[in-house]
Amino acid sequence: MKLSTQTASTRGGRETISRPPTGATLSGRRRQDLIAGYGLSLPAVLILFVFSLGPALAAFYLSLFSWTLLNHMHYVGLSNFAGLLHYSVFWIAVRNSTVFALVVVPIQTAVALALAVLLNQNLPARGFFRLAFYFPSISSSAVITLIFMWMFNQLGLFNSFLNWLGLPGPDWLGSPHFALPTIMIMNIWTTAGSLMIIFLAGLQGIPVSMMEAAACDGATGWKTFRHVTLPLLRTTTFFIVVMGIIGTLQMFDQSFIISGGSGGPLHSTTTVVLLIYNFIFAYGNVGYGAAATVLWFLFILGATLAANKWLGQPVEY
Amino acid sequence: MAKRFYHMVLASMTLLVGGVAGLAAGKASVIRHRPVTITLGGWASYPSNNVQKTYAFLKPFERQYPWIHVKYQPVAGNYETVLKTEYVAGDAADVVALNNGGQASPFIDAGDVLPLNRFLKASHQSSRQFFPGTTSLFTYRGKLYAIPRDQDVLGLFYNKTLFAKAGIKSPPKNWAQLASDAKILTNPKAHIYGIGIDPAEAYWGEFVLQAGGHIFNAGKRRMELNTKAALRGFSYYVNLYRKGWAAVPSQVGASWSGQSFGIGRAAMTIEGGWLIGSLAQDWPKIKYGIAPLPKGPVNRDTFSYPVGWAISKTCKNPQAAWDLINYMTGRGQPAWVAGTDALPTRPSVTHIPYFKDHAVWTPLVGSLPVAKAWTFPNGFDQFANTTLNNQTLLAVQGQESPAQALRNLERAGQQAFRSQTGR
Repeated sequence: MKLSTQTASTRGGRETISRPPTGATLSGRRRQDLIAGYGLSLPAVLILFVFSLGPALAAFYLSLFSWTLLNHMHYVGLSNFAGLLHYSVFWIAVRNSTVFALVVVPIQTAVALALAVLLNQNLPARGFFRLAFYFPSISSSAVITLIFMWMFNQLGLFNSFLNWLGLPGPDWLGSPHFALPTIMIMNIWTTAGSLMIIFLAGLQGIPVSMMEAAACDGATGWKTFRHVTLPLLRTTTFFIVVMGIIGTLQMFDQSFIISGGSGGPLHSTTTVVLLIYNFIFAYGNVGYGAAATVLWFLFILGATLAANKWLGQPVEY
Repeated sequence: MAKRFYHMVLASMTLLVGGVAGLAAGKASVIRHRPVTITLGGWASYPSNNVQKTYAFLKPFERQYPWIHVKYQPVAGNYETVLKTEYVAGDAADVVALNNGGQASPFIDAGDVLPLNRFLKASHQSSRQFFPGTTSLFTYRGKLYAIPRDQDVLGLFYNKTLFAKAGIKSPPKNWAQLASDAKILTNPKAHIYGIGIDPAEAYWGEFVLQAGGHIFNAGKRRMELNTKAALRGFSYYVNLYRKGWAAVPSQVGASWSGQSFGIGRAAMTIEGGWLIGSLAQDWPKIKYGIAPLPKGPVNRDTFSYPVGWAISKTCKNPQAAWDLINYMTGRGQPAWVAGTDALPTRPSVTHIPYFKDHAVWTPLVGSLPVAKAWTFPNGFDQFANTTLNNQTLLAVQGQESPAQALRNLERAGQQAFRSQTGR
């Protein structure tokens, strides 16, 4: 690492000496830089357009058509949107996704922050705990879901623990009241670790002088955290909350696996994205799926802008 | 080159010995044909996740038709979903599998697969050589779009250990015995229930049939759940749960009723022949027997789940694809059902030695003549996936009466029919 930075700087130094900075050569170099820059980013931009922005724009287009995937599509105007807004399960899905985000985002952010602050102290075996808390984030969510289904089944590990405490264990996955909360618990447990890493980076970016200044002014633990650490972490918190909102509103895989794709029991795990998937690939109703995609895009955009208004201002020292 | 010639000679000899065609005709066709490749679809987990096995099964075919090279192109994952995208992209296999449960009709309706009557006739065969329950599934406006390759059928699986412990000597033979045995076998404290069944129409529809009712009318143009017979069958099923003798899988920590039975939490279950393989693989210690479904008040009908082979309209060599299908569902069927743990679609194949050596299948083979295919009309995926599941669960949990649930299903189903015609 050290060696390569040295070489780079020497090479740069030699160039400035050998080429006098005249206007012509500078603009030539600038053009070369431009070509290199655009050339190097071209593959990524192409991939973005073909696999990300293209399909996103296609969703807008498809939302105006009736299509089963197998027949010829025909234009229907905005009637997919009208039909969707009158479909009760769509509103159930909107409610499920929103409740999921409202519960999961604050809790996972708080848990991640608490873990980060804890592991930023000089604790014994700090490395081990950092690893342990981060571990769920690098495992496949499908595998974690399967393990949770095993732990949370009616006669499973978690209920055995509750029974040992003398509490009756519910049918976590089979009951419409508990299926979504089970996914919430699982999601918080999985993502808190990766958010913790981001908070840790944020914490370590806070200048030590600030803390020392606060200590000189007589601030103690909680006060320092509340009035120094937390405000200085705002950009990090903003990032985590926005990513959390987007991620939770797009939750799909855990619901899909737990309900076997149906969003059951009784629609309790039907999220908007699961419904979109089912509309398009299972029910042969591409127009409705695309219309839901467009509406949900607008909803997520609105939620992100709201978060930006609340947390997005620059940090004032 | 010499090897190729040898193959040709061998092939024509096979044709002669097989008695499929005369020597002269066989030779002529061998010489005339250009080599073609036929891609063979179907889902990857079947037969038994084993590509090698499929190739072995196809070897006699490739010897008989040396100019046809079969390339296995299975679909991994959600089969119909992937198949739909393959048809959109135009790269579906030449020969594809069509499934029961309403999964065949979208492809037939969209014209993605060819009608096969012409081929069937040209090879001097008739759809009457198959169980009527299997061909009806793939018949649309009088034409047959897939040849049934195999099927599965519901039977009553019972745990011999739990039966012996409860002092029950033989499996129940009718509805009354099923209920009384389920009651005796239930032990809620030990989390053991008389019968474990999924809360799904694929598992209660046969009770409606046995009470003399139907889910749809004969032409599948109308719901028929608002009848006394349907209510009788559905109420019987719901009451097994309401009395506490039946358990849904999640109640005993299982994800399907086969698992409830496998882990010993359900003394009986109603499942298809696929459970035989699962039990052998996942719960080999369980001692079980299979009986035909207990007889209902009107008949002893059961559900069957046939699968068929169809030819994609994009196939460039439909004749070669037909030769492959004709082999797999004809001369090759005994080897296919023996190798894949499935039941035959031709009554003539039920007498093969395999089923004599594997007596566990006997009750299921015996149920084939009374089996009705489990299916839905086109455009019913959403209804089957949402309303049907929900109303079943609400009735099973006692939040709705069986009559109320059937009324709701009748209404939602009629709605689905209306939007189907409006499409």
